[in-house]
This record gives sequence, C-alpha cells and structure tokens, in this order.
Amino acid sequence: MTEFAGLAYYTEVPVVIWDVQRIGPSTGLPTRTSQGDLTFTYFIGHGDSNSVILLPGDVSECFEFGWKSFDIAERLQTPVFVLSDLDMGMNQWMSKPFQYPESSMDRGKILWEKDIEEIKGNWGRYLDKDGDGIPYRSLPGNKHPMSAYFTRGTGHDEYARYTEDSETYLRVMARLKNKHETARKYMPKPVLHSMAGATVGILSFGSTENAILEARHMLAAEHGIKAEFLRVRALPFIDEVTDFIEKYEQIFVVEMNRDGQMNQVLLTEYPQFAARFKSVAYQDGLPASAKWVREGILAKYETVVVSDQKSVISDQKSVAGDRKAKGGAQKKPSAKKTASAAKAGSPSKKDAAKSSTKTKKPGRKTAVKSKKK
Amino acid sequence: MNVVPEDVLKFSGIGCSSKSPTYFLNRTFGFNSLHGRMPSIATGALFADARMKGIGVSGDGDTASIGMGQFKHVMRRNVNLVYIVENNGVYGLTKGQFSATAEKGLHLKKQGENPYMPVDICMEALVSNATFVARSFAGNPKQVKELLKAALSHHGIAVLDIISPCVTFNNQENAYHSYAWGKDHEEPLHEISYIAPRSEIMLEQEMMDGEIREVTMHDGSAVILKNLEKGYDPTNRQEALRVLEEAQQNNWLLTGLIYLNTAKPALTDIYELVDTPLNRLGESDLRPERALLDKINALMF
Ligand SMILES: Cc1ncc(C[n+]2csc(CCOP(=O)(O)OP(=O)(O)O)c2C)c(N)n1
Ligand code: SF4
Ligand SMILES: [Mg+2]
Repeated sequence: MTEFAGLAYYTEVPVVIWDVQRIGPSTGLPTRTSQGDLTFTYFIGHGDSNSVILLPGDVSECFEFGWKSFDIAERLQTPVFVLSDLDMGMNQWMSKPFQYPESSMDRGKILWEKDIEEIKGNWGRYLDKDGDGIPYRSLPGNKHPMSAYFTRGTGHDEYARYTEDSETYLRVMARLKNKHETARKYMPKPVLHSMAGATVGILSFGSTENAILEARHMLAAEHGIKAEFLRVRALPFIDEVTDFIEKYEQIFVVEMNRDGQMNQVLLTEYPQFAARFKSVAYQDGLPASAKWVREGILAKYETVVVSDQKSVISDQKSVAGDRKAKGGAQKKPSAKKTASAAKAGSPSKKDAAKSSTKTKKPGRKTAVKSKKK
Repeated sequence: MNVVPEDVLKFSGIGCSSKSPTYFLNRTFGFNSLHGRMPSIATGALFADARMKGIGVSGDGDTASIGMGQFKHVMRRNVNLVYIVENNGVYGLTKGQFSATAEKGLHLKKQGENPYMPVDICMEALVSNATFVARSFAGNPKQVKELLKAALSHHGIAVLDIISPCVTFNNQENAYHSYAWGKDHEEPLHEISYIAPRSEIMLEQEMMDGEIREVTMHDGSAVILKNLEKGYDPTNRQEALRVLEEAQQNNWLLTGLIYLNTAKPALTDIYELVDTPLNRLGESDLRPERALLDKINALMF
C-alpha cells in the first residue's frame, strides 16, 4: 500500500483511502480504538511526498468527508487519506443528522474529446497551465487521438515522457510541492471552541472532542485553567491553525497514541513554536475520557507553571524506571528531563480517578501503583 | 486485426518485459505500474470504461514471484485482459537472479544453483480458472502471432506464457528458457491459425479425423488447430492439466492453445453496469435526491 501511495502521489492519480484506526502495531488490540496512524499516513510513500489527510471528528463529519474527500482528491489529483477510528466506525454515537452537500461534485481538471479538440491536442499531462501546480488529465476511454499518455512511476516530463534528466526531475518535484501549497485552499477549516479569558490552548483532532470539552470544563471550574480548544480537521495545516498556535504560550496537544504523533507533526511544521507544544498523548484502546485528558493536561501544566516542581517530575520519572530520580534530588530539571517525565506521566484512567486535583501526591501514587503491576 | 488504439489500454508491472508497452500502440493509454501489481491497476481501469480491451505485459518475476497473489485473482475474476508473460526464468532487469519459474538445478555463473522447483504459469492459470491459457516460444514467432490474435479476440482473461530467452543472463544451451533448448524441445500441440470474424455463424465442429479442430471465438473469429496429436481438445480443462503434467515429466516445451472456454462471462459482465462508462458519469447520474438523505436521516435519528 505504501508503494501505491507514493505511486499515486508521483503519477498524480486521485484516490481516497479511509483508515478506520484501531490500536497497533500490527494487529495490536484489534477491537480497540486509536489515533495511531497519523504519522504513518503523514509520511507515507518512498522518496519525497506530501500527504493530504482529512480528520473527521464525529459520525456526521465522516459522512461529510465521505463525499468531500473525493472532491479534494480529484481536484488535487493526489491521494487523500481520511483518518477515522474504531470508536466512530463501530460504536454507537449521538450525531447531528447528515447534511446534504450544497456544493456540486468536483471532478477537477479533466479533458474530454471536445476539450482536446478545442485546444487542438496541444496539451501535456503534467504541464502546469494554471500556475497552481495542478495539471490537466484525460481519462482512459477518451477516443481523441491526442488524448492518450503513458503513466509511470519512473521519472517523467511535462508530457509524460520517460526521462532521468535532473533538471526535469527538479522541476516536476517543485511543481508537486507547489500543488501541496494549493492543497491548503481546499482543506476543511478547524473547529474552534473559544473561552473568555483563556490563557492556554488545547489542540486535537478526531474523536477526542467530547472528552476534551468535558475536561476543559473541569479544568476551568476546578483548577482555574481556561483553555481555548481547536480541533484540527485536515493536514496540511492552514492559516487558522497557525493563528491559534501564535496566540498561546502553552498548547496541549491531546491525542490517542503513545508517542504524540500530532505533536510530532506540529514540531515539524512549526519549529519556531516548538516550545509551546505540550504533548498529552495516551492510549489504552478505550475512547478518550475527560479524566485522562484533564490529568494529562494538569501534569504538563504544572511542570511548566508551578514553581515547586522537582518532586513531581522525579516521581513521574520513576515510572519510567529511573530509580535514581526518585526522591527528587535534582535542583533544576532540564528541558530534557521534563520531556521524559512528560512521556512517562501519561496518566491511566484508574490513576486519574484516584488523584486529587493539584498536589504533587497524585504523581507519587501513580508511580508506586504502576511499579507494582 | 484492425485494432483501434483508442479502444485498448496497456498495462505492465516492473521488469525488462514490463517495459514492452512503451514500444507499441502509441495512441493508447498505458500504465507501467508496480512490481507484481499490474492486475489491480488493470482491473480498476477496465472497470472505469468496460468497453475497453486490456493488453498487459508482465515478467515471470512480476507474475510468479512477487505478483502471484494478484495473478491468481485476475485469473479467477476473468478480467477482459490479454495477459502476456515474457518468461525468461530470471529477473532480467535486476541482473539475472533466479525467478520463480527457473528450473530446479539451473546453474548460473553469478547465482549458483537454483534449489527450488519451478512454478508453471499455465498450470497456475488453469487451476485459478483462467478462460484462455496458451504457451508459446519466442523462437516460434509464427505461432506467437496467431496466439496473440486469438487472445485479443477472447472475451475475458487470456494468458500467454511466452518463453522469451534473456540473452544476457539465461541463454545457456541446457537452460529451459534458452533459444537452443527451446528449439530442440518444443512440442507444439498443434499448428494454429487465426481467422478473422466471418459473417455466417460458425458452429464449433467436432474432431475431424483427429486432424483439424476449429474453435469459434466470442467475436465470431475462429481458431483452426491442425496436426492435433492424440486428438487434443483445448476445451477440456482436465486434459489441459494432464498434458502440462506430461510435458513436465518428459521435459518438453509444450506450446499452443492449451485451454479455452468462451462461455464464461468476463468480470464486468457480471455487474449490471450502465451503458455509459463509469468514468463519464456526472452529477446528474450519480447524485441521490435530497429527499433520499432526509429519509435516511429520518430512519436513523
Ligand atoms: C516491490 C519491488 N521489489 C523489487 C523490485 C526490483 N525489481 C525490479 S524488476 C525485478 C524483477 C523483474 O523480473 P521479471 O518480472 O522476470 O522481469 P524481466 O526483467 O526478467 O523481464 C525486481 C525484483 C521492484 N522494482 N519493486
Ligand atoms: S536480454 Fe535479459 S537483461 Fe537484456 S533486456 Fe532482455 S530480459 Fe532484460
Ligand atoms: Mg524474467
């Protein structure tokens, strides 16, 4: 599949691929949900390639992205990945009724017999006529003698002819990059949940929305932490996402996987804001709960903001098996240590349930409990 | 045969053999796809416009090594495709490693000795319910030509396993896929000639003195088989498997039209497709009414 994805990117064949994510790696926990395929689809393909990814957040959005993904794929002539998850795909959800598409179908830039006749057969499959990086294409079955071209995964020029010429390769790849820029124009906008007096941001995607809304409520009511919440709905990122990131010094990136894959993508796309992103990543196969979202955010929030931090950090570090750290001997937790503590500190639901609101004790309890298991 | 380039689609996988489609029918759409993945590309493209005929060229590695899974399924689905294998027993493009059709004991300078039994592409096609199975030899171009014409007239999958020596890496005198060995060991099942469609309806004739047999193709053309040894009947699948087995035992390069079934529907026939090719359907053909979605919503919410 990876090889086909790269082929479709380079030969510019539109294709829609739905990935209803379950927990991996391999067959993993086959009946459990996950958001673990984000970086897989983001980086998919051999060589240089860029992915267009849609990220529906509920069942009605899955319906909407069902048709929208085809419009986008045919408009851009590129693979479109849609990342749903097992929770949305197989469990019962409350949902808004499905919305009838108001826009008409978009088959993109296709030339049929009469179009080719009009331009007297003067066209190239990979020519950038419009300056948006998107070429024109004809479809097999077109009977015009000038309609046919040859598709190949090997190097090709603007007229789809075989070439290994370096200049041509650079030109074609630059145009593909330009096309990816154009792609941003067609991406669904993120959903913003604002809050008066917000001082931090929460960024997420997919099915975690309800859990985050609930957690956000608890954070405001019980901890005085007010957060604005942005649910991203597509990659590549668009201006609305950048604007949001620019607003907050701390942005909690909440997602259901072990390594913080959306966080990784954000670090890649926004290196200038790297210090703002706090990864709140956790997955045990169950749908996101407000408890782990809240706990995850609190763990990260405290490590940066609260001054008496040392023991929390070291306790959490001991979860990862670093006994030396236990007891909180370090004077100044380095950024590196904070990061590893953060990783180890992803709370489980049980622990979250036991922990009280904002002392360093919960951290200690967490550590002891997990060690005994 | 009056093949109209605009009515044909060309496909291939990866390999020296798979480069062939760049050298014929220049007004025809072509797709040089992925190694072992020609069948899935062809299946999709031939669905998009079911009026088109596919011509695919693959290699023995492309078909029988990496592509065996896809090969099997394109057979059983009876895709309307001439599936040519330029079979040379090696991976020519990557400098002559043994492929899955290399015979056991084949010795090559850079590779050593092949320890594995070979895959017989015609047998694999037969057991996967292919509807046209033929083997030929590049050293017998007359037969290749007649078989190609017959294959093009076939409606459904037509496999042509053509032993095509790789003169760079696998053409030693004693090698199964060499010119010399082929010339010495070729055992044609019959002499074959192809006759273009005729106006009168031809009925399939029974054996005539065990000498001549005529098979009518889907488009009304006919294939005449002469000099049938032992009265070979290419419409009998069991017989087909038997002669292949016999050829293996006796070390013959058996060539000719091994099996033919003109009665089975091709893949796109078994779906109730509209007359307009799928890739030409537009908004008015495809978009359900607003009321239909309202109804679905009413049922669910
Ligand atoms: C997935 C993948 N694996 C390996 C290769 C490298 N490769 C290119 S051609 C080839 C073998 C081709 O052999 P065959 O199909 O017999 O074609 P021939 O060159 O002999 O005509 C291989 C292994 C590839 N291109 N793609
Ligand atoms: S002789 Fe062999 S290596 Fe050369 S093109 Fe033919 S198959 Fe490939
Ligand atoms: Mg080969």
